[in-house]
Amino acid sequence: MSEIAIEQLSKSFGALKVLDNLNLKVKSGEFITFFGPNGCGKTTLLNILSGMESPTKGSILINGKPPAHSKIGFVFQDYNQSLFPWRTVSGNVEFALEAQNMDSNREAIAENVLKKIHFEEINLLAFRDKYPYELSGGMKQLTAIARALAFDPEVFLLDEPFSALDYTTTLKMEDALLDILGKTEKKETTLFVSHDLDEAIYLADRVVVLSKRPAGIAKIINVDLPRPRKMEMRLGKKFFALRNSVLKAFESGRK
Amino acid sequence: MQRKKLLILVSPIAILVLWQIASLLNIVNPLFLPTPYETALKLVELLASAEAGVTIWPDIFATLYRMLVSFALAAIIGIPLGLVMGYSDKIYYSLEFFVDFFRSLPATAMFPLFMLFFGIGDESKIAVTAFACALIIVVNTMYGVHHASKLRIMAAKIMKAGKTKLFTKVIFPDALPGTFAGMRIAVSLALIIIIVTEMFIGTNFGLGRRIIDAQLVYRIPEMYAAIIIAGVLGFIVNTVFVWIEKRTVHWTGK
Repeated sequence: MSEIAIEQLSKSFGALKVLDNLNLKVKSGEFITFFGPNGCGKTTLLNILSGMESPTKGSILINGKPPAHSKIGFVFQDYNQSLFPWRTVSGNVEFALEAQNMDSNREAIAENVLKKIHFEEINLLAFRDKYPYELSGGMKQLTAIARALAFDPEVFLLDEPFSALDYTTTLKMEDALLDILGKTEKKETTLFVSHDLDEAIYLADRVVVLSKRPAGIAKIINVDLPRPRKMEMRLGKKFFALRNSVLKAFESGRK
Repeated sequence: MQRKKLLILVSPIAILVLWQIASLLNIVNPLFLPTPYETALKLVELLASAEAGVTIWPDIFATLYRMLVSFALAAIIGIPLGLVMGYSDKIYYSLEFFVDFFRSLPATAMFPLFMLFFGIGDESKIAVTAFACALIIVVNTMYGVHHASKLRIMAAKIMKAGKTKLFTKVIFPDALPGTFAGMRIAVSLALIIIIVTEMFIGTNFGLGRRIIDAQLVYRIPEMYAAIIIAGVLGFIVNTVFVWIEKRTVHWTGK
């Protein structure tokens, strides 16, 4: 049960105001995507959400606690720099448990998580003994996702995780991610930063459109597409209409 | 693959050819540069003889022993020091002058100081070599720590890894390619310095002693034979080290 409450959140670096009075409530198990112009302060928002930085004003509470005291599953954009290249796929996943001094059952827990990363022809468990450099970009990022989920997070944060991948792989990854989240024991509360309009809509329960720096919330758009999401939905009228309204909010927020 | 490996023979063959041409054309005084054949005969004699004073094996083992001990000491001192210097700015700034000062000096210039503390036996030779090699390992390990991925450190912190785990399970392995690069340079340097110490600080056995003795009494073929053995020794040590390195830090450059 993870509820996130962002209240009057502002962040400045000296005279530079990056975040301006953000307010957002996220329900437990909800999938939120953040969509906004480049350099609007998304990274800063994620850094505060992950407890790496503290806000100048306002607060973020995760189940009533500040992020530094919460468990955050973080997936970075750059999987090459965030995975441990000296560890195998299992080794990377097990790190999430070692870090918390969980010394028993590590292998079994890692295996259980890896088993969930099984979607169509993707089967990460079969690669458990491979090193990251032996995997494709998509498989590397799935390893990073497995590691974050093995951490058993209260909030699952993803920072443009698929933006380094080609289009076909990205589409597959988006479906794989939703499939994995459907298999987890608890429904993860997920915050996903995207720079891809279709992706932001396709994955989300709600799209939060951010305005240019200092970032505020330009608009929140409910995505009332049924789940499970299907590739064909991207072609439908409803998706098109959602696309228009997100883009309109994005355009007005960019000015 | 096999063919490419044969390319390693190109440079030794080229050297032999040029050497032979120089000898045939009498470009240099044969007293100071004997023919390859003459040198090869001497080389075989030094390796095959069992006679004390002729056989070079005791010298090879003495040099190899000193070199490996120096290198091991350098690694034992250099790796932890490099790690803490890379990790803590305070320790870095406190030791920066020391490291950079001695790093820019030829270690061999400090013989008198080391002889003062360690005498004229193996200890001073090993100490001066270990000192010079440790500095290189320190600097490279430190750079390894500095270049450790900030994202990996952040990922580990977000996963609530404590300081010890962060250090042993993230920063240390991430710095390991740097450490190995330093050790690779150090292992070659160890051989060089040991041979120089053997030349200038007295010893009964050692390739350096053989080279300087042969040089002093104009036994020039023997001098070149000893030099070739030293070079081959360095090549073998380096090859073994690279083999270990590739298997240990297998992820570098991939």
